[in-house]
Amino acid sequence: MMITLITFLPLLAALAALLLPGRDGRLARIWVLAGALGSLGLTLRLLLQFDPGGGLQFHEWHSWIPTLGIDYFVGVDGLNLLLVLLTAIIAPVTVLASWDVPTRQRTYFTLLSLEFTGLFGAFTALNFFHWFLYFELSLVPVFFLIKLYGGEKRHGAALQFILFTVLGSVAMLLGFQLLYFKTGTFDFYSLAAMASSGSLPVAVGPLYPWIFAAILLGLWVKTPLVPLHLWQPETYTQAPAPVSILLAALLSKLGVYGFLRLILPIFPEAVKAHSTLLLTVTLGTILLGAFAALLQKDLKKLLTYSSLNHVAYCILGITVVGAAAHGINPGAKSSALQGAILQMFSHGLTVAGLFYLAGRLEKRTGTRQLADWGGLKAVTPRLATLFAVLAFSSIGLPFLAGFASEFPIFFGSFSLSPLFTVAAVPALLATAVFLLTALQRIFTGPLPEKWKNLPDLNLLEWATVGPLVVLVFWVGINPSLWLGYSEQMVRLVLTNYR
Amino acid sequence: MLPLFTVAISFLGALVVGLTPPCRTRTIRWTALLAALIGLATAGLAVLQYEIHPGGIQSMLSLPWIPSLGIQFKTGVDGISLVLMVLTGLIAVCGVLFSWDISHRTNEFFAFFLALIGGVYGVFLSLDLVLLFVFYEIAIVPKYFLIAIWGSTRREYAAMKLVLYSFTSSAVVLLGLLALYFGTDLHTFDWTRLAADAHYAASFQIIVFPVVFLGFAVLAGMWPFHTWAPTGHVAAPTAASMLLAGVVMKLGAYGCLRVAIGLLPLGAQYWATWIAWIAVINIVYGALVALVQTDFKFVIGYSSVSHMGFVLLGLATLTAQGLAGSVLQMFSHGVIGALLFALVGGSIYRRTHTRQLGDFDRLIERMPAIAWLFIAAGLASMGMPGFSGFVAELHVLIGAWAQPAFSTGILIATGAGILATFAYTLAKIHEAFFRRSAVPDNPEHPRPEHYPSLTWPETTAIVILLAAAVGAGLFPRPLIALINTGLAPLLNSLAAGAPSP
Amino acid sequence: MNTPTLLIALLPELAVLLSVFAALGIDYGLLRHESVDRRNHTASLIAGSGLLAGLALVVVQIFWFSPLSLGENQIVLNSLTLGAKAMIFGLAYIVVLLSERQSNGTHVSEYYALLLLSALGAGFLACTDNLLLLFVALELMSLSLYALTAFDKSSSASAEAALKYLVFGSVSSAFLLFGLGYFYGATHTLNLQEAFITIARFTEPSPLLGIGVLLILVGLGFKMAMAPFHFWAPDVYQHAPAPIAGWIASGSKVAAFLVLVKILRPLSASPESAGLWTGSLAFGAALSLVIGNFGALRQNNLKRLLAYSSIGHAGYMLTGVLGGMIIGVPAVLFYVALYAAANLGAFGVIHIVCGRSGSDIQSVAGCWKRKPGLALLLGIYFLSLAGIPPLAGFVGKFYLFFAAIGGHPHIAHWYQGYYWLVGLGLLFSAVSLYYYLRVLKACFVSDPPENPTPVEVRTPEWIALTLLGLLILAGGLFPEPAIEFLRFSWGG
Repeated sequence: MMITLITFLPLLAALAALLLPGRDGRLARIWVLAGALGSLGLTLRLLLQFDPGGGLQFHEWHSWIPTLGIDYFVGVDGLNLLLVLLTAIIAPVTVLASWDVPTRQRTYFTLLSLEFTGLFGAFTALNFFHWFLYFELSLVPVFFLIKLYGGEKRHGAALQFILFTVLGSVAMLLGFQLLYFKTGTFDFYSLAAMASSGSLPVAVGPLYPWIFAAILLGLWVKTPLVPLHLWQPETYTQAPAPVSILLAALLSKLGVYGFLRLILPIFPEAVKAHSTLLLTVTLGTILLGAFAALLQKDLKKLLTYSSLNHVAYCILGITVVGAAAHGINPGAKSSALQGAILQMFSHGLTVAGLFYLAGRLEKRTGTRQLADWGGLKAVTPRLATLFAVLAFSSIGLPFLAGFASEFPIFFGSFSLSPLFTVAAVPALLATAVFLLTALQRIFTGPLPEKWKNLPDLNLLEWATVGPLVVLVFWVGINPSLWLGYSEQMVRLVLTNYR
Repeated sequence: MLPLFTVAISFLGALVVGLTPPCRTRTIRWTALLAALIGLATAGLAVLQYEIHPGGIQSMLSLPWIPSLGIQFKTGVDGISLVLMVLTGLIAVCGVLFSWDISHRTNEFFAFFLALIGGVYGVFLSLDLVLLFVFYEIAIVPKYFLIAIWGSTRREYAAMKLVLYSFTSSAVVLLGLLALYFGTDLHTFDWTRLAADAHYAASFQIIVFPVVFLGFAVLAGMWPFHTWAPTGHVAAPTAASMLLAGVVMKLGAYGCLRVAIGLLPLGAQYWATWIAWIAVINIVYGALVALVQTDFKFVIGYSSVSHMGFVLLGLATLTAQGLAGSVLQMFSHGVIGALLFALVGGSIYRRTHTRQLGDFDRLIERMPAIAWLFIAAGLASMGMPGFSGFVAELHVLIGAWAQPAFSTGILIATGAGILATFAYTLAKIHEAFFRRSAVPDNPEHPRPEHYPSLTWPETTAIVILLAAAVGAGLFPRPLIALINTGLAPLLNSLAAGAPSP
Repeated sequence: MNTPTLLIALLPELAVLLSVFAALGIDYGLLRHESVDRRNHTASLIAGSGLLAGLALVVVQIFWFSPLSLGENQIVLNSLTLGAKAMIFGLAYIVVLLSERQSNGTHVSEYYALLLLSALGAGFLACTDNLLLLFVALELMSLSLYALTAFDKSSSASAEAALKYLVFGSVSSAFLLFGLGYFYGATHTLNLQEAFITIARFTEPSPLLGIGVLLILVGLGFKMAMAPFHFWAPDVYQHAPAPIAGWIASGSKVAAFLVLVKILRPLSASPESAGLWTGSLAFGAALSLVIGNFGALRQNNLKRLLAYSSIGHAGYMLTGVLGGMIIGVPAVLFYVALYAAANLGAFGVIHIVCGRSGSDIQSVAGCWKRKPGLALLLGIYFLSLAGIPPLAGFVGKFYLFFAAIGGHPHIAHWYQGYYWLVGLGLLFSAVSLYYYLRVLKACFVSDPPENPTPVEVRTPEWIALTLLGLLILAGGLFPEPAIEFLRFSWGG
């Protein structure tokens, strides 16, 4: 029951916000915050009760549409635990980030809370039907939030966002339908078991590579990876800041999670066969993200490209698993994969904080252009400090979350395919460059007159971004705790990749 | 016996309302609503009464009618008929609610409306081919008058076009029915007996199937004979468009399923791929044409043509999932199409008095409730999971994969069609609700800041339809179980094949 | 036969004849100086009572004096023939009722006398199986009609139409007679039932018979308004007084088809003899469908539209005849009876609404508001003509097509059997809906004109029209008794 509760509590909160918004929507935000905090509380309880060696836990199973092999099957295991936690953390952060939305609060908070349900559902679903349901439905509130509250080019951005994603989803849908027809099941665990026993490719027959390609296409667009990332810059930039947080921290992880849940366990043959292609694309994304960010003058766009780059590290950790082992280090694959899983979590935290602070800066100053700022550390030292911490985490400084997750990835990938890893190193350097430059441009140097009276972080902002920074430190200082959650599942998945 | 009551109450209601003097509008409306509600309740009761485990046809009533011609008054229901009867009941009630403010010749309007409903119920109940045909044709004349008297854009032309297409296609069907009768020695028009015992030769089936299928498929809006549908639906008054798009198009699809495929399975297998490709054209062409429309109601009209393509594709697959998906899509699109027409032709038009997308200025601010309800309906129409359309399309597509005769091209083209559906729905939502109008405000009739809110009949109808769409999307199991009871004999005959002539 | 039996057999005809003389006599004798209206009412009353008396006598004959055959089938009384006669008298009575509205000029009683004579002829031919008597009765019916067509002396178009009718009619009667002559020459008997036996024995039908059949078809084709002998119909229907046009469309149509099926019965005695006429009849049917329906599409005058529609309906009925004697003829008889009812009703409404003025489609505009009852009845008649269920027209058409295919159900090629003709018929049925709906559109959809002429309907007219409407409804909902009756009485 716990997972269903976690998933549907925000839905109830959305209904409450819709029906009882209070004057000017004051009650609406309280309902939604309560729902988000409730889910957070339940998730923490789940986390405490989670047994890292216990496989799938808190699962619920109900027969739904038996004629199509569709069941209501949810649960947490090592692959999605951290994502559920991430969602539970980011949800209240987003609500707090939206606390001072000026108009149409009822609509805003209702849509936001609906999105939370969609994300919780997508991360916990273990049968394709409702996984896809949440996957698709999670597009809708974001679409409307961008259309109603976004920047100037919001309509085009929203449409591009949805059409690109739907292109991928339709392909994924067709692929899964064919897969169902050949195997008789939509259940992820059953499909993984079939893949392990080797019966899946036999059942599917000659269309196996096409199904793989179709499902891959859906995730390719979602993550995104080049060259289907074209929707991302405008969408992230035109979205209002809290929605950018959702997009960067959570929606992109839907794509990565898809790789973890759909691709790796179910298509090991294909992953191994096409690992070079996948690695090339990943590498391309890493390099594009980093180097494009270098050229950006708009802070949000810079962060977007940086996010593109960092999410690609997750994919690196995942795809490298299919590369041929060179026998250097048998633990390399598990290291890469665990790192990828942790990177989802740590990147989520980091990018959420960065986008939040960028949003706050934009709110105070009315601009996103790096050139407009300067020397702000004099007026907003605390903001500057927190921004710097998050930026360093992103760069990969030890004892911060970014390093804790990127190191295992690179360690593993260097062991498994050194060429690609070395080729990715310039991106690390580029990241350092653009982030440090940004820090310098925003916070050091001469302070323009107009910014002399900027307020520093207030209580609400501390409450919003503070926990993120604390977690960033925690993950950085004690990574083994966090890596440990995924260990058993990773081992299970990797049995197909000997 | 019970299901026949739906037909009786509808015709009785039509008679009572028709004889009431037109000035007593309150009596007329409430009587009509009562008749529609009783019809819906009866259909619901019939569903509860139906036993899924023996399945097959139940509540049979058989009276001799014209024995000299082999025609009986034979009625009965199985799962498929019940699903469609419930759909008819829902649309009937919501149609009456959306016609609450008709003041011109009110008694005749509701009389024609209820007569149309009665004819539709009759088609779903009939077990005799000629009886089915009779009810099918009874429905034609009320359609004409509903559109010609109470319609809008080019109503007389649209009404005539719609009726002539319907009548011509049913003439083709009649030729097919005569062939079916004389093709065997059973001397009966009872389709349950023909389905079980007729065993038409393969060569006979291959010739007769296209005749019967085409006759019914025109009414289902099959390309290229679909042009009556957008014109007719746009011209019709709201309740009539709801009924036309929601239920009457399904009469054609039902005929295709029951009569064409049910009695001529070998013929169906021969022609299946052709039908599938035409269905794909329906889906893609309908969506692309909807994309370029400037009249909102035409967008919905072409979207109906596109969605019926899924019904036809499901029929063409001739597999268990595909056929089930086809009937599901009949139900789903029935509800969603009616909802869309109600919102566009009814709620929005009544307030803005225009259907041109260019005239709408940021309606999301001026009529937020209607806008969001339309958005929800639009999501359902796009085939978003969580709504009935997705479940139906999932079944149809899985059925298509399961049909070995279909090339992957059909599925990829359908995927493109789904993408096009997303595109036009989102584009039109944007044009209708989010865009600033290029047409400046008319100083004599400026656009109000807030349009009047929804009336209680409108709200009730919209909630009913939306609930049906969501309910069928999240809990389709009872519907699927019902539908499968009706499909079981059909699938057996498809698997068995016919003996040599 | 003896005289008393003959008299009893002819009682209905005598009643009608008596009323002819009574009408003429009283009008010329007693009412010379009364007003035209008074004379009109009296004459129609007398004519009406004569017909009703005849009708009552026919009913009595059905129950007590049939079956009866006199003079080698010169007079055949059985339930079918008497039923047909009753129907004819009934239709004539309704025509008389309608004529009571307005008289056409000062020759009041002559009008009714001619009408009664025409009814007499039609009724008599229903009961005879003798070729010569058939011809005489047919001529009696037709000659009266030629005169009645011209009755409106104020209209030169009427005179022209009557002249056309006369010329066409006479020429076609000549053909018919000529053909009957050859028929006699081939079979050596005037008795149709004996002719059946004779023809059945022919190993191969003589060319004489073949020519005779063709000539008969030409002659009868005219009477039935079958294309290509239909040219008289539009003008006559349009310019004859509306009740007369109604009688031509109903009663004389019934009579014409009765003659056709009676003559075709012996000619279907063997497949070879059937082959003599089926081809031409099929061609005629197809042509009638095409010309009748396409012609009606362009009409704006109601009566002319009904004329072309009757040409089209002749096509349907001939399709039914092609179904053969056993299945086809009952279908045709069923159809022609209900078709007559619908047509007469339509003309009745036209007469009531338009009166003597032109009968444009727009003259019934807004009838839903002016007289909703009349509008409803008009709707029933026209929808029955279109073939919409649950009206009799649908069952009738279905029966006709059923019979046409049923006569020859198994075909190897598409042109064998009559699937093609039925397909054509169905197609044109759809076409016909267009023009029938045009009329109904004016009636139900259009608003009435600014100053509509008031429409008065008298009670007897209401009763008559409602009866016709109910007949059509009953024929559509419960046709089985009628169909069974026709099948058994024709077959037996």
